[in-house]
Amino acid sequence: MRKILIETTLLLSVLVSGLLMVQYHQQSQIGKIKLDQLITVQKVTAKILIETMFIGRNNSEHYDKHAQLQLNLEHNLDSMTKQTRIVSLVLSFNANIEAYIQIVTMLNTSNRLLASSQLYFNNSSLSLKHAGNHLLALLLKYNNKPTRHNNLEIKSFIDKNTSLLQQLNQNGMQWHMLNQHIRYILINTSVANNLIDKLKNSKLEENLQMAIKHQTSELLIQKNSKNTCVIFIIFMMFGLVLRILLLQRKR
Amino acid sequence: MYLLLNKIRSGTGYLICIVIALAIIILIILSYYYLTLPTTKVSNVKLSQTTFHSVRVRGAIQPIPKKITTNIKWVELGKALFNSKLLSKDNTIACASCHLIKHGGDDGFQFSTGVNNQQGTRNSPTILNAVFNFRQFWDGRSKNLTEQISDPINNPIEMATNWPDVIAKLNQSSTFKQAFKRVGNENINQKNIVKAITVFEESLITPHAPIDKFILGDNSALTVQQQRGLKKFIDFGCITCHQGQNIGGNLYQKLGRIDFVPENLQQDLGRFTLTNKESDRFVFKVPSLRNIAQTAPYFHNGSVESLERAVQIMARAQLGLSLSEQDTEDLVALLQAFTGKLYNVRGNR
Repeated sequence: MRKILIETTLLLSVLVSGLLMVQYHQQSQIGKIKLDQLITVQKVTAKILIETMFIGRNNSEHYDKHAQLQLNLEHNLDSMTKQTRIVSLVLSFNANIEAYIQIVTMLNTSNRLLASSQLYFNNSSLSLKHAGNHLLALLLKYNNKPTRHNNLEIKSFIDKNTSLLQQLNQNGMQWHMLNQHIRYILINTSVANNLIDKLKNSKLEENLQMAIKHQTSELLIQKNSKNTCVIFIIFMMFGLVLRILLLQRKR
Repeated sequence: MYLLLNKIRSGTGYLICIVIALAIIILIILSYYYLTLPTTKVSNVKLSQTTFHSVRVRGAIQPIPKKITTNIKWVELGKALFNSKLLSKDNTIACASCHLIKHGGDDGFQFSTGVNNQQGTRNSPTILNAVFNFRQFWDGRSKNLTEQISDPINNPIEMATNWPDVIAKLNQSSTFKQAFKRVGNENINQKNIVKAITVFEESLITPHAPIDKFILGDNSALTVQQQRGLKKFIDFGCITCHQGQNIGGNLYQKLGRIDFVPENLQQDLGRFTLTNKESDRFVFKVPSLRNIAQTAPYFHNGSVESLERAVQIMARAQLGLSLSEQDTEDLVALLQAFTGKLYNVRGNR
């Protein structure tokens, strides 16, 4: 047995290194897919955030692109089941985006309807015109600084001037509708601001960055290990050839 | 063994023995490679074979593509499956039973009837242009058509069956066996059934609606009243939710966001039933308004028969607006302009 010990050792080494090489190769393939997914998720989340802000600032004509990006993000999540931390962060990010979009799209409409009401106020009696302009100024102030004080100021102004403001109905603008939109703005402006702050301060980007860094270094280790195995196999094969040549020469 | 090896080593067979050993080793390594190959989940395989040649225009409403490129054989197989009652437990219900393609893509009933005459609690949404919705179902529980297909098949009050039974029944049908062979000698399995139905449903689009012609530059495509309706649709704020290619279907919104909704529309809690989140109470996917004139009755529970009433409810609930008779008529006239023509895959090939 000792006579074939060298060959057996060389061949077994080739076998073990070969199996290890395959293992490292498969691991690096999986790692590469994971890395690609993380990079895609990072790109898509950045795009969604920008698109969400566009919608928030009323700079988007329709939301098809936003919807597609959300779908794209969710599609990537389906194959990321093992990365639970990232998945839960993305899900919460997505939920905040959905909630924000629902509120902000209506806020944009409410603000637009209120802005268009100025025309109706201007065509009204002097007192109603003044009341309307004051109300719109208060709303503008609230939009810039949605504090509790500004909120209460608007509510008390409306309560004091309800009968005057109701005269707007005679000019073709429904006060009930405007009032509902004002209430909506007063309730939801700070909700929308909180949601966008949550999105901006989300730990998702930081975690994605860390996960990408970790995955990249893991991938590098796997690639190096695979290369080491390949070099080892080449050496073993070279040793085997050398052994054969030596034996042939001896013979 | 030792003697044999020794004999081989001393003889000419030494080299052959080494080569054989190496070959065995390579074989083992290769087997290990194939055994450990990372598997791809069936759900992640892209089943769609359709390319939509979309045109973008300035404005909130986008036109439906006039042309698609698809695989006609898969479309035909999908159509056969869509119309097949073998996809239900007792062979009484097909997808087409609740989605009548030539009649707006739904069945016109408040609730559709499933196996054993059971009825659901939500109105059948139209299948036409469903491919452009960002989610499927009223509560958006499915991301796309592919994911959606299993739901009615497994739902006990719809088709009440399961994939193994469906596959077994289709395998007994010589027509379907041949049909699957025609698309490329494909097996009858869940993936291929879903693929065929998906590809067929993707072909169910309705371009050439007057609104599409209008936004593409044909000013005569809308009547004066419809143009007035479009202006009101934009000015009142309907466009906030009903925009994009499908004039809706691309976001969630709360029913009754601004004002009250009739009580009978408040019994269904919408996405809340899925997520249990308070903020999702009464939140639904905004339905597409395409072909709306053909898809009465309206709302998630199909409780409103007329388009006029539906428009008035929505104006009040979502915008706090009481519509005048003239406003309602103008808006309804516009909604008639959202009706397109079913795309003919063969004719446009």
